[in-house]
Amino acid sequence: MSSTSKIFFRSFVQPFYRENIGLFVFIFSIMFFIVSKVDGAGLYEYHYSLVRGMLNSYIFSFCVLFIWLIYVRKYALFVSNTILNPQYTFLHIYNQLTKTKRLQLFFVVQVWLLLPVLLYVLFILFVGLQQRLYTSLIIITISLLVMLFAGALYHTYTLNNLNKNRFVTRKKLNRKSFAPAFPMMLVEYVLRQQGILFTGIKIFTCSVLYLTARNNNAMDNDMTVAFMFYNFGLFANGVLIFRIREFEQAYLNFYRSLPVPVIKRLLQYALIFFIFLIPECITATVLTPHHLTPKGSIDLILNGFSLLLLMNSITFLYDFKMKDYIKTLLLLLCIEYIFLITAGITFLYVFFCIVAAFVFIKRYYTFEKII
Amino acid sequence: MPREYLYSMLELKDIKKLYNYNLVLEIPSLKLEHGIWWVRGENGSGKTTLLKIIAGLLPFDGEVSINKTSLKNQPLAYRKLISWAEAEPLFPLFLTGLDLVTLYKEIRGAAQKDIDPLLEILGMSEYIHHKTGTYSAGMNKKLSLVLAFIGSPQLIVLDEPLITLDPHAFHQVCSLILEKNKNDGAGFLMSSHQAPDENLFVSAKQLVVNNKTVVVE
Repeated sequence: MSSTSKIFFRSFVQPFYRENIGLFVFIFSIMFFIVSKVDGAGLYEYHYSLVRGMLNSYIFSFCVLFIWLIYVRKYALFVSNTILNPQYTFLHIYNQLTKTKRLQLFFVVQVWLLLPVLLYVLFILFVGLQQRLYTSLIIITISLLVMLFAGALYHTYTLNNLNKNRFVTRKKLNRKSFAPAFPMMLVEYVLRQQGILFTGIKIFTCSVLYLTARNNNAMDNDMTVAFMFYNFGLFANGVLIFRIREFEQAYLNFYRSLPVPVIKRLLQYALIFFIFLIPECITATVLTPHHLTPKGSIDLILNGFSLLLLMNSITFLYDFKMKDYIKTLLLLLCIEYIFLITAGITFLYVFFCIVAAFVFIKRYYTFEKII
Repeated sequence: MPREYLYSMLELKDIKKLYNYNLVLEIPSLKLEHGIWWVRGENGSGKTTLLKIIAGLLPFDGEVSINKTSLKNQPLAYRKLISWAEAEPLFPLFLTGLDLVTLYKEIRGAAQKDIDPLLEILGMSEYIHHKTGTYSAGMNKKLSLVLAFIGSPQLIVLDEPLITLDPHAFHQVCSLILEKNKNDGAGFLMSSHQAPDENLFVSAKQLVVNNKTVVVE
């Protein structure tokens, strides 16, 4: 790899995967790890039929392409923001290269960033060729090439026209902000800058809760399966919590020097997490009383709340890297399942709330970012 | 007239600060009388670390107190006595300067009539309603200084308060520091590589951070 390519790789590709490791772990788990063998059909058969279904239905194909487009938008924004970041002003030196060379470099970056999709597309090509579904394959291939080239062109343009991009940023800022209360600042950050992630997590968690609980009825009440899948979605909130902490550290660190009681700070976080759990609360309410008992519904919500509170307190324990934080959350998930089997859900959320409060109060003033 | 509750003493005792197991600051004992203190020292000598410890932003071994109010034992009471502005402030891009001023005003229980003159003196009234994402580095700096001046803190800790300011704002900030010290009785602890203007220079006592410790000059 030449030094020009290496700098691009280390500026755009590595930080992107590092920042989104939680999202990838989540998607890979959904796609590969939680698929179990049913009637002799395993992971390969599951994906084979999924791809066949996709290639046979244009609606399904367009839905998948739309999801890929959202992903492309996500990394395109990441690359643009990096280019505009003051720490990366040195990238302007690339403007002295020829346009073809810059386009080529950005095209390679797009390939790296789209790699998870491209690898899956290899499997799609294999299935499509075997099934002779050539039209769908051509549509998918052309769409992907358009995404790759459009991304490369857009970033070459961004690097060359920084003032115009700055204008776009200013225009976006013209939206009115909420009242200047600390919890609302964090909520606003999530809505403005983590909107897609937040929506994705909520759609997943609420759908899983709805679909698994629909098989349940209040007479024959067994919430274990619903609870396990629902919890998986709750853990995805950890990525959001981690990003909020990063944002706080960068932009709201001054708040720690202000005379605000620690208990009030804890209550502020509690309020934020209640706001985050509103979609789950609505879903649980819709399912009660036919598919969930009122107690089961309250248990699910309080469990979610205590888990979010604890995941937040964990971010104060140590200056985690995202991957270490995800590992800690996976450990927490195991502990949670053990508790669920042995002690029951009520004990679980009471215990998590107490631990969350204890850790937060103990660590709020002593947390330190590692230099 | 200076208020009665002026801080008479900022006291640091047995301070030790390590980064990655490396000792960066060790202060066995330091007592600072009320006044304006100019903290000097080379790059990387530990000035910002010292100021952040006093502002309650970094954990450390030892004890820091203002008028016997301990940072570790009475964190809330201590934070009511101090105020902080960092060297290169960053604020959420989607908030306006006014949002942040209102936040500080509510927490510190300050009156708007005391804040308006600050905004006027630093020439911020015109753009205080704009989002901080549209601010230059100098505008952000002025905002952070205004936030630090809000309320009635006994000790105002400023890390490099004079960098990125234009010559006019530079003199205004120096005058504000003197005025706040004289009229409101606020003490100042400020680091700076550049010398303040003449009036402030003669009023400021000097501290030097060197060889991982602090000495009064």
